[in-house]
Amino acid sequence: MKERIFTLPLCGNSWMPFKTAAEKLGVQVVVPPPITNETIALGARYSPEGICLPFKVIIGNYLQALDQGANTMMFYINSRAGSKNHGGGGGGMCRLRHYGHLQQLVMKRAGVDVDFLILGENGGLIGQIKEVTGRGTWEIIQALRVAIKKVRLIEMTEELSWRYRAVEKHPGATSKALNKGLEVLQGIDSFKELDGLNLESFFAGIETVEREPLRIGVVGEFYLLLEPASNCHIYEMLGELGAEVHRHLGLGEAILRYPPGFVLGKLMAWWLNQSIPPRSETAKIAEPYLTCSVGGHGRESVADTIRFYEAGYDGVLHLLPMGCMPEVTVRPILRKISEDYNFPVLTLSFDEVISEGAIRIRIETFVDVIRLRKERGERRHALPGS
Amino acid sequence: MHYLGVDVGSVSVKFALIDQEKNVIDTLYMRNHGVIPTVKKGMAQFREQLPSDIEVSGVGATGSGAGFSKVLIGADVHKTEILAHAIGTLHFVPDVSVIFEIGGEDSKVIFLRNGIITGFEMNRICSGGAGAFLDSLAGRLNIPISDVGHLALERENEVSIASRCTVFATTDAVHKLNSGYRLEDVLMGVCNGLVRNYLAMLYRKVSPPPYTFQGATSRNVALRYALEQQLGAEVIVPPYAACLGAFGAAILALENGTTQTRFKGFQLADFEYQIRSFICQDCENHCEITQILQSGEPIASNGSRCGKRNF
Repeated sequence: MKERIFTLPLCGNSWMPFKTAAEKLGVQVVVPPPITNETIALGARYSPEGICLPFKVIIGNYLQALDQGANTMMFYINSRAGSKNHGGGGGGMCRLRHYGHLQQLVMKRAGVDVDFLILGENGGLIGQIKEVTGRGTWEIIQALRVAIKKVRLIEMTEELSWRYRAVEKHPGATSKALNKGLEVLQGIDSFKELDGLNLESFFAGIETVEREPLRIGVVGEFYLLLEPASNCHIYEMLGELGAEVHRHLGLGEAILRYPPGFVLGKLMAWWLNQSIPPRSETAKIAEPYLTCSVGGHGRESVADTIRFYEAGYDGVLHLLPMGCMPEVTVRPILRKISEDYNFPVLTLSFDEVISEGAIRIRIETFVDVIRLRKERGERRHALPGS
Repeated sequence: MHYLGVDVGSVSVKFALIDQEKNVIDTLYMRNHGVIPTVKKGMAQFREQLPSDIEVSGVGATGSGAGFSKVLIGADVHKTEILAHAIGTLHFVPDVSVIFEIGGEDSKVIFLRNGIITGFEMNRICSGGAGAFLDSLAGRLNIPISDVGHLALERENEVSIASRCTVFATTDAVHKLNSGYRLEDVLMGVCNGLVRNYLAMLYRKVSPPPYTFQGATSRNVALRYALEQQLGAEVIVPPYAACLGAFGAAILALENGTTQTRFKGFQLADFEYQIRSFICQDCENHCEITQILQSGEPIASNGSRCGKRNF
């Protein structure tokens, strides 16, 4: 049997913990090259036209990784999430549920001969990993422990970078510090060392200016929240305009909210020493507007917009890929919340032909308007999506 | 002390020069035949028309080409056209509630309350409700664009034009002309269709008047008529309606409190500018870098994701 060389779709920095865990378990991994317009165009050429943007980008990733020697495509689907009728993760009531199989179909049509490994499809994540790696349960648990810790640290580093970028003196300084910090993170593969890391130290050298940044919450579709290349790098855009960003879901939070198994979920929460708001609480907050799950993280978007309002944020950005069923359903609800609470919400819809200029003008205006209002002392105001 | 506003749009470039009391000294509206020659022509025209003792103390840039024109002219502030239009309009109609702006390729609706922007809508993926289509149709029929409005108001019969997509609307209009419909009737049908499309796309939240209508298309009387008919209310066309974005940008420059302007002066018209663009091969991002050269020397460069080629 030929040796399996795995690849995975890019989604923000999620490849980093994956690679660490894979190396610990002695699995060969090829990370696809960074997403460029070429990647997206390549993916779009082979994907169904009406499918959501993330699918197209993922296909582009696969094809480019193939050129670099990968022969097995890996994808993760959380089948438990769907069964709970709460959406979220791969098993949720949206197209993501079919991604794994659709990808296989698309690859076949493109005439590419590859293997697929769809993790978590039938539950039993650890069993599947055992089969692939031939390692024991204890070793796998250890690798997962390091990986989930890394996921969380990357997330926290990113969040710190958004805070710094809004007040940086020299544009670009934060981005440089962030990249360096992530490199340091990627070089470490022991839980203890990761645990002792001081993330603030990555940004210690950044000169800041005295100003009160605007605080903007970001809700919406998970992939767009995570992958800057798919959202026209809006976090950087907002930071440079002096706005501090906070994302409602990161990868770690999403995994904890929708764990791949009950025991594993409890373990992860314990490793990270983190409590996660129970799903029932999210449902309760969203209830005046939405009484059921609409798949994906739709209900989270509704509840977290209200959470952002209550936490005193200046506005919320809502991101969705064009045609995303859960978020399209949520969109008019956010508009209503915006009117009811007198709270600015801007919806941005992305596809592979979006021009960065079109996004930039909306974001610049959004930030300008919020700032003008804040200066005139009326902090909250409505700004329905455009 | 004078302030200059420049609005570089997709179809035209607008200039407005104001004094310290926000009085308009002069405006220019020019077809956009490429930003560099158009801006140079505008500067040359200002230099000719204006007394030589005019001193520009601040420049504001806006419009889809603002990032580029900012460097070219040496602007001190750079804001989006939504803000610029709102600020320009508020000067003339302080209690405006909805601004309808139909430009060449993009169109927008801006909602305001008590002089403050509360929301905005812009066309997303289709320029169906925008003016460039009227322009191309007029060109095809060999009518000056400035006559379209007056001709259309002389209609006698209602003609309905399929206007959801402007490509098909042109086809439909030409087809109707070929089947013997009167030109005036067809033109009014086209104007009605354009406004219908615009309102259907962007005006989904109904707000009470006063309404204003601006952008270069506001000079078309038939469009204004169609808008009033379909809204069922009077629509104000403010003074300098075609150049309000530039006027707003000039006000922003005035309020910016610039002490030392970066403006390059009207002699800008005499410089030689070139554009060079290439794809950076330093990493996988393959950014498209655009540089402006002034007499062979690069004065600005942008487009690089990592920032190392931007200055």
